[in-house]
Amino acid sequence: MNTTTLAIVAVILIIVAGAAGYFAGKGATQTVTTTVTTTQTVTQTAAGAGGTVTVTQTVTQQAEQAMLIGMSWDQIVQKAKEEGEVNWYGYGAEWDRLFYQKLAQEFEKEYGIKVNYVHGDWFSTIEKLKADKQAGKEVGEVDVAFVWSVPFKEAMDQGLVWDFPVVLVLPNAKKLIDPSLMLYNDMVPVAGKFVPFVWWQVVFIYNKKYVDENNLPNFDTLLDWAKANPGKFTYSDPNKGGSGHTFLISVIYWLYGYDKFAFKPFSEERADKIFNSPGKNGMSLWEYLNELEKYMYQPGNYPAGNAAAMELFAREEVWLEPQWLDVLAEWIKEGRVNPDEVGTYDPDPGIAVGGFDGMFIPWNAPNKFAAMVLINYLISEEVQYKLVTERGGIYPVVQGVWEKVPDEIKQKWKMLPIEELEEKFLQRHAEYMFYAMKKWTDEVARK
Amino acid sequence: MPAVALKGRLTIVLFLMPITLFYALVWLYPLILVFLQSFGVPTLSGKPEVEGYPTTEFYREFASSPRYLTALWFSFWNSLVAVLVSILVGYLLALVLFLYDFRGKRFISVLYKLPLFVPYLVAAFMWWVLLVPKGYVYEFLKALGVIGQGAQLVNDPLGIGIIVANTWMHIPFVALVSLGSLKLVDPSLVEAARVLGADMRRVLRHIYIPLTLPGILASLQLIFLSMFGGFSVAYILGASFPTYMSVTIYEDVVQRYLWSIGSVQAVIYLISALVITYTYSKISRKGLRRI
Repeated sequence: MNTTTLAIVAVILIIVAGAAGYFAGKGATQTVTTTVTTTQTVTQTAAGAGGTVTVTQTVTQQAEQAMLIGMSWDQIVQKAKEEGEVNWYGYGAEWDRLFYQKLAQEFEKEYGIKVNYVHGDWFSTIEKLKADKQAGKEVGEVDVAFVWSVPFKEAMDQGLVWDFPVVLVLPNAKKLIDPSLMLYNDMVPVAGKFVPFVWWQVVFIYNKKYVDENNLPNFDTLLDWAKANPGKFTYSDPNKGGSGHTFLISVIYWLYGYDKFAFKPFSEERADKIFNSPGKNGMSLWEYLNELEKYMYQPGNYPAGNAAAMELFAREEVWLEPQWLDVLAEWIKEGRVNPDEVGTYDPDPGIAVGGFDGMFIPWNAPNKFAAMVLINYLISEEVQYKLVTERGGIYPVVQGVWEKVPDEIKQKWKMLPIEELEEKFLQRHAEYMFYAMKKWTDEVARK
Repeated sequence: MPAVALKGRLTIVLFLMPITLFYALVWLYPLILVFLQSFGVPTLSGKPEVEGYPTTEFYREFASSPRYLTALWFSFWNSLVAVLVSILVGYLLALVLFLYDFRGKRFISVLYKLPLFVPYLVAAFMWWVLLVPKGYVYEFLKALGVIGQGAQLVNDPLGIGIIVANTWMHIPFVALVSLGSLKLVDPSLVEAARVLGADMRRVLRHIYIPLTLPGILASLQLIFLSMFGGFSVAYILGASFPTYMSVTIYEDVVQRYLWSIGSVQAVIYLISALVITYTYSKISRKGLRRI
């Protein structure tokens, strides 16, 4: 009896505490929303001391932003040095961490600004900022968030991004490889608030021992090639590896034409309508992929990620597959694949470029000037050159770097000429790509 | 109710308050957030995913989508198979180690515990490398004629790779628990049976197995839950379809930021785990009474 009562009391307490906690959190969110409205219409917020404080803060913020545009770069650097430190949240594999930490040290030496590099993943960075927003934390811990287009879109939607087009003030941003990157990344509108840092690229890799170099298949002839070489082509499960979903969107562009998607609005109805309509060769997207599957490696079995697909290639189980150049570079570095036997090419009409993973500054970054200086440093010719030569398998995001890279390095990492990729420059449409990935499970994997 | 007793109870409640609040904060609070999110209340997503919440829209989406229903069913039967195999192998191993003395027994008893020290992710990759074509185990089985040309042992729709890795990971748990219960069996019972002329098979059937069954069944339940909700093994070794529900949750939440449908799956995961545990304890208790 005694214990039962106790248990009931405990459960009630727990529920009350949970609910209290939730509503406390919710209260905070509401305050944030109200402060945001007050910032927009300054005159309406005369009530309450708290309101007044926010108003003054915003006024300073807005004045700061107006001032920023007028500031010279030297002044910004000066301000950054006064801030003295910058927190950079990055992600990637272990070799990425080591590389970014090295960059951080070199930045410190050059500018005397301390970099606190935090290695995590883009998902937790966004979640952290979201938690700050909900708690109404106006001075956070993240100055530079390294993410890719889809998490950035989430950050924009949630209002986590500093409302200032940083590309306008960064001197090195003027040299971006393609001006459209200032406004779009994977066709996600970025309004100058997201600065690309690396250019990853998917290409077709093939085994020179088995594949005739003079007769490499393009998208038009891929199916015929697979029929002639059954079981020797594969691509990563699009939901588990970027080489898979970049291939998927490239197939879509080839079948239906790039113009149908380039900077076009997205809706599920439109996507369904297009993906089920006959494309270039008379087949719909799903018919084509299912037909291709019949002649692929272990039909119905898709490697779970880029590494798995690469491993199958290294074991000569497959002879041809779409793969990231940087994954190939890593395999070459580790001696897990014979570089003399691997060839790379970009099948016509081309595999989509990117992603262009990059940086944004959160709205509550404590050291915004230092953040801008760091981002500017990361897209400098000097750092981009290091990315291409040391990290391997990456293209620079600014002009004037590629020409300086020695030929033997380009050959070592099996890089294709940048001019060829720039000429095609098919950008991924993140929303169509993601929708296709989701449908792929039902339409291809299940069937 | 006497006043003294009430006062005593109140004291206990007050004493228990800190720990209760701690539990509430650490375990129940996140669960409540997930539960609310599954009805579209933006507790995790930051901003609402639908207009007009709370709504059962996401539960309906779950019930009408073959993707989620198949994932739930697949997680269930695939884990069950892995559990049964682990129990069988683990129990036999424990019996051998318990009943027989042989050279190298110490070595074996260290060896079989090794998986306990291997992280799930590492085990998953290890089995992927072994079971993929040109992997040692794959080629060995092919040479033996167990599998034919083009057989799929990883990323296959039956989840063979998942079963193998999960079994390998959990055999030590079963063996340790079984060994513990075997050691608790009163040796005088066995001696009595032997004196009365029972052979080893009868001793096993009538003494060891019935007396150790509760322990084994308890371990079965625990490892089932850990496999059912496990992620890394299912992610690395699983097919594109069907997958474990942990994988569909990951895809929905981490890749697509669909918090509500992800939370629905989490809630359903939790409920099915509770239902399975409850039914299971009922059945096993009934079964035990009969023995």
